[in-house]
Amino acid sequence: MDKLSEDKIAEIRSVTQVDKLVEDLKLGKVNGCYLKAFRTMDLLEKGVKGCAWNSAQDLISIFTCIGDLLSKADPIETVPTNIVLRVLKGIRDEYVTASSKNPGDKSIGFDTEESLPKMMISDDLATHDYAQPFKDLKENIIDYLSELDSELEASVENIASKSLEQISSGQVILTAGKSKSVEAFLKYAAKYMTFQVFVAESEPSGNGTELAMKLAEAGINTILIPDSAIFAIMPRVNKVIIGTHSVMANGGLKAVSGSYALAYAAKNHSVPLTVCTPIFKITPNYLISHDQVAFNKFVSPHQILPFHESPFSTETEVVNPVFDYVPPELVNGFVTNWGCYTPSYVYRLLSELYHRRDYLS
Amino acid sequence: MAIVKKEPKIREKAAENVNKKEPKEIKTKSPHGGDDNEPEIAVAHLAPKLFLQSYHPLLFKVGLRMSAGSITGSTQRCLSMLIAIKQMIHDHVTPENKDFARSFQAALNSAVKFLNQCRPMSVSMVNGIAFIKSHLSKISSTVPEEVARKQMKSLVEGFMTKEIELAVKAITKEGAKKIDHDGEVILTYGNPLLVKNILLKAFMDGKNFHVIVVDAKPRMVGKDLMKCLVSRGVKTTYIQINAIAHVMNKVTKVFLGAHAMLANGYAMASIGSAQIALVADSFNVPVLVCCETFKFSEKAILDSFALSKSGPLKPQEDFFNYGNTGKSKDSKGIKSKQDEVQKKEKKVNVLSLSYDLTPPSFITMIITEKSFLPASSVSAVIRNRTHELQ
Amino acid sequence: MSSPNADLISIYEKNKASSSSPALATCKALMDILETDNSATYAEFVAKLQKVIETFESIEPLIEVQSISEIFLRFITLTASEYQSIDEMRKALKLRGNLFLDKVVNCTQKIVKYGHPFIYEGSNILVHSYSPVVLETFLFVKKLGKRFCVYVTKSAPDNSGEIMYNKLKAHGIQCSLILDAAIGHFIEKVDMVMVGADGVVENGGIINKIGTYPLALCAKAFNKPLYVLAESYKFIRHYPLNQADIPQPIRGSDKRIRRKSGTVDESGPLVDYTPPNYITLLHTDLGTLTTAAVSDVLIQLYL
Repeated sequence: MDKLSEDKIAEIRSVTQVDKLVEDLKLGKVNGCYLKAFRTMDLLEKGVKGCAWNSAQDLISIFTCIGDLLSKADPIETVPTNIVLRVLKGIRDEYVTASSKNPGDKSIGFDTEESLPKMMISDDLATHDYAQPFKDLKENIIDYLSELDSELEASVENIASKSLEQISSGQVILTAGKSKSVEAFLKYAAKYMTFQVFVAESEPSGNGTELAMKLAEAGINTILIPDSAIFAIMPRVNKVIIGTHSVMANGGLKAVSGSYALAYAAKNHSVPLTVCTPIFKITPNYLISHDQVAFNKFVSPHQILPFHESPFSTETEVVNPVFDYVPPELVNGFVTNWGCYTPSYVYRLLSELYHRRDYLS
Repeated sequence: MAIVKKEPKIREKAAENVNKKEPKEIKTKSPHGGDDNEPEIAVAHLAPKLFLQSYHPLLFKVGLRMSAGSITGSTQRCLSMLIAIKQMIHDHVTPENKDFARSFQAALNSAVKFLNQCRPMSVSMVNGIAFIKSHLSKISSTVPEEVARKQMKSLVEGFMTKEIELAVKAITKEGAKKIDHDGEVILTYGNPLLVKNILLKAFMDGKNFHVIVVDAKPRMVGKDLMKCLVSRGVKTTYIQINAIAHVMNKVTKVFLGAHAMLANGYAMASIGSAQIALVADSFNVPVLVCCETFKFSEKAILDSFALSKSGPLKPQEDFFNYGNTGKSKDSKGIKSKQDEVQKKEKKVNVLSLSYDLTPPSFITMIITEKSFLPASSVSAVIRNRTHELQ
Repeated sequence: MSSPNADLISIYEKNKASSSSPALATCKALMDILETDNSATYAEFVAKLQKVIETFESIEPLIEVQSISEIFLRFITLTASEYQSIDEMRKALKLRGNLFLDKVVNCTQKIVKYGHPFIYEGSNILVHSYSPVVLETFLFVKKLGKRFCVYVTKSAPDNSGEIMYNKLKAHGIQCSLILDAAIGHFIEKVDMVMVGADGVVENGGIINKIGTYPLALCAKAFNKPLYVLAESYKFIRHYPLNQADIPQPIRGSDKRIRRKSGTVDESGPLVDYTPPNYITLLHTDLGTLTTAAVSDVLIQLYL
């Protein structure tokens, strides 16, 4: 892919105002994955309508540039980049349909574009270069973007509506952290049945406490437990339902710190672990090791050991990680706005969501 | 900054605990001002009729201190109780026409009741009382009072020395030997006496290791251990229990304290220990539990909930209410959040468990004063003890 | 019938000398046959090819030879359906065949591209026996400047681990040779296990040099990831249920080794089957796949 000229980049910046989002991401001002997703969508819509482009390839270069800027802003935050990848896939699909070279050739199913037999079978060795301009392409892409928008807006309700299949009356649910999806999930179920929820405090961030109060306000029988009590409480629990920060390409999770112990305790007691997540949290990255660079984020140790407790606060190393990796064997299923899937299916979702060329650089 | 002090003997420390006028704490200057470091001695919950009986003043002190949370830890609690009982034996006045042994038994029973009401007795205390009672019943009525008194006193003294003091010394020595490789990373949880002794001894023996202290709300007792280690110059890392998966791949050994070992091999320890043992097991890190044999109990429980009666410091309160344990300096911070939680919406119930059970499959080894044991041998040791003590 | 056989054998041996793997050799040999072929009809051509493939399989009873021959046959059948005359078909076949050959040659590079990020700085890796792809990956990572340490199993009965060890040493990579029986001792020291594969079966499991299965069991018990590096032409249409299900010629050929005692005895299996639940990820030229994805790929390839 050719590098974009300085002018082009400047145009992109001014039209889409990507710098504003980059700054907000760097400062951590964007709270919650849904907000990040919506703001990225806004940006991309502005890009389609405002920037100058002739062919799909031009637009792909523009969006790739935006994606790079967003990922550099905060490498840990994968939601903006996932949305960009999703839109890029949409553009490529629209192009393929428009070009009608192989009408049925939209990559459904697992994409093995480069596989040996495919090479042998088709004369068509050149893969699409996406450079041919088409009249209706712009309209189609704008339509696609608005469809994606409505899908994003409806994702929380979609996830919540699946709760009736997952929970039944009289069960005891355990959760941790503060996830909008889980909150909506439980509140929806509470309208139709009664159940009990244990919420782990998730110190030092205190997310669990917040969630517990919200659930209690909704009339759910909520019990707040300290993080240390998770193993002790597990024999009494029927299901563990958590949210996650992102879903890795192998079906593993990057979830709130403490999730590994929670997942392992659940496995030990044969309690199923379900993860509520919107589909745009699935990233094409793999985890290589628990202390991989740029996997985890560390926040201020003041939450654990206040600075004024010197000299101890200066003589001790204090570690305050935000995330934990949960391997796919510990996860029983994902509840997403597209449906319910097992971790072993994530590879397939990846190929439906994103195009290999975009994430394999 | 590392001032190497000689570690006071555990018995002297316990005696200090019992006899000090103020609660034994290191005074830190809190920027918030005010002396809110003193835990309130909660007396109100004790049934008024208890005051109708008169207790030995030392026993009374011990009971209240336990209730307030200034004497914690199973070994310390047992020791302070025994010191009080020894004094009781010394001061006991046998009523006319009554036998020393039988009358003291009655006094002992009421003392036990009192202590139970202050705070449910720990397994170590129960074992101590059982030991005393078994020997008390063996004293025949023909033995003169002074002899009986002396006998009992020396028995209690013997128990304290042999079963507790020397046991702690032996475990410290053997445990310190277990830190044998250079650059070991030891993980521990809370503030267990034995583990602290082991780490300090290994450090004084000149070994090179790094300690990771794990702590958890609400009690945050690990902070005290961290402060103790740092002030001696031991390389320490301090984390909360949520971060254990992140650090565990660097850990070479996990040392845990235990409140008691149960006959089926389960370790009863402070809440959160089972979780740590679980994560350690998933990373193939050996878990070493330090426990004196006098804390071995014949109970065989499988569920942490069955232990709930021995949990909260205020036994009358509901299972699902926050017991304010107020041990750590930062209890103020916790209190305000807790108030917030209870104030805003009374509907959020808060769970308070004090102990949990670690299954034997997660325990690699138990360090006792007799030997290193696998978790499966606990019932064998209990059987041997019962024979020995009789 | 022996002289055509001798010809075939010489063609195969000639190509083997110039190829890095038996699969490539088979491919080149088949292309040679194609060049010199002058059959009048399609049916005659296919029959001739099948005989050739049988001969090759008997010379070298390896999975990769079998699978690549099958792919070649399939590709002929499919091409044939597009053309009327056999000459046109032959021309088209030659063109595509060369492209196919190119792809096969470049397979290893692609695998290295997907597999190398999984070796991080300061990692310890356990490797079983000699695998050219794994070797290439290590060389690439070494070139990138990362430090890592490799433990290689000697891998009885032919001690092919020594070849791997010598090659690694020659490139200055820190490595040690360990006994097969010492796997349990070393597994706690390593961070991951990497193996090649002789073949990848339908459910995502692999068939590889004997000793891979116990290694996988060990890795699972210690929660260490097991990565498999395999080319996509090694995917076969086979679904073994257990060790006994591995097809016979591959499982253990009597021609290879006999017990010194002279007793008539099976020489012992040379490969074993590792079920998919012990495998963390497979790195192939199609990308990094989970074992569930392999099944999908096979469906795409063959159905």
